[in-house]
Amino acid sequence: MEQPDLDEVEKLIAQRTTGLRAGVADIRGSFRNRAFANMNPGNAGLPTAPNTGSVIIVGGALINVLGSGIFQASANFTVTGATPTDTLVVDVASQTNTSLALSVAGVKVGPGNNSSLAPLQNAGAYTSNAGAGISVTSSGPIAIAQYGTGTYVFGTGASTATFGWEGVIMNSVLATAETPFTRGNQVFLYVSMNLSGGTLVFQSFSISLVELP
Amino acid sequence: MLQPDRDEVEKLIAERISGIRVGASNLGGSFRNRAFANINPGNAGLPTAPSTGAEIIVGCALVNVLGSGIFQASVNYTITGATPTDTVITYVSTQATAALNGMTLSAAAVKVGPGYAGAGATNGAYTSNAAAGIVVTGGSTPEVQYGSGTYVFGTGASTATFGWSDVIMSNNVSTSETPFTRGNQVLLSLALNLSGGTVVFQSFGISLVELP
Repeated sequence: MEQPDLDEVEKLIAQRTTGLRAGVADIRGSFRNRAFANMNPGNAGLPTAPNTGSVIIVGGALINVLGSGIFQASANFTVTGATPTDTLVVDVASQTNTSLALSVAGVKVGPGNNSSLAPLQNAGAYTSNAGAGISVTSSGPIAIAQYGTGTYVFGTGASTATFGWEGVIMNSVLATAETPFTRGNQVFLYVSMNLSGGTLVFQSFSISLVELP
Repeated sequence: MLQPDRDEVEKLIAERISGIRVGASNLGGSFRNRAFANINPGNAGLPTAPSTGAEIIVGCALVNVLGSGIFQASVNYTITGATPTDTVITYVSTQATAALNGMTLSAAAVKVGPGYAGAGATNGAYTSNAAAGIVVTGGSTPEVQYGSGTYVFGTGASTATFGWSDVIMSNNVSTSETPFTRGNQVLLSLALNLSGGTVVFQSFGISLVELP
């Protein structure tokens, strides 16, 4: 009877599980790596709509890149109070760098999976009530517009705009091959708006960023 | 001291990793199986809006079914330049083939985003600038996953923003999971029917991700 010694048993186990270990290692980085928030009428965290006629970041999601560098993302909002001929431009964009710092106007309103390594411990969802919105003070490369509406013009009798978007994002909107955000960096996905004026009110706002395997 | 023989050791290993192997096998199929693109003003890949009064596929995502056959999907677009009483009908549909890499897209389809694929496969995200849009060969009868009905532009409204995301399967009637068949190819398409005029795409996004 063949009686393998311990080394032989270890070798057999290693042979049978090698592929699985590699797969699990790849998944581990992306596992539960997400930031998100959902805010509705009456929630303190709803952003304030800008009316300065310039592009302002009203909310975003910040996370660390731990695995694939490819993310499932969404952004949704409803604003009311527009009058005819008011205009609205909406962009959903991303920025990335080794670390990203948000201005104090960015108030955390939703959870985010943090790294144990400083300074990558500010992951989460953020909104702003400041007139100037959120600024990214350590932004890296030029922001990538992942989605843009162009100029939306409110028509006669239309006072409400509802925006809903979901997509899969990477660190390029031009490449035809997967171009991940760099593992170890941070990514900030945000909604920026340019309102022509008037007094608009957010009824709801939500954002999510989930790293795919 | 207990000294298991090799058969016993093999049995022990099999017991310990049995569930993992099944899980990993299922996951392995779906793992990173996706196609997507996000295109914005100024990007070359934006589709051209049809104005022929016929339903035309302006963009799509193509992947093989490798795992669960259930997909997270999204389609988004914004068009501007419509005039009052212009109409637009939007369809998000799926087609499937009975083989891997079995679908062919007409030459009008330009690849604008990545897709998980084996050697020689055509998976990815596509848009079209042709008046007739993208013509699909080898696919099944389209299954409408979402339809807007007829949207009529009102006075002063020149913009339509469309956003949709959901989980899809090969049947939109069944009350139990009805996966796309593993080993087939699936196309998620956006088809538009615009009444006329000169409408311009400001942005277009599409994604198709196989769930575990």
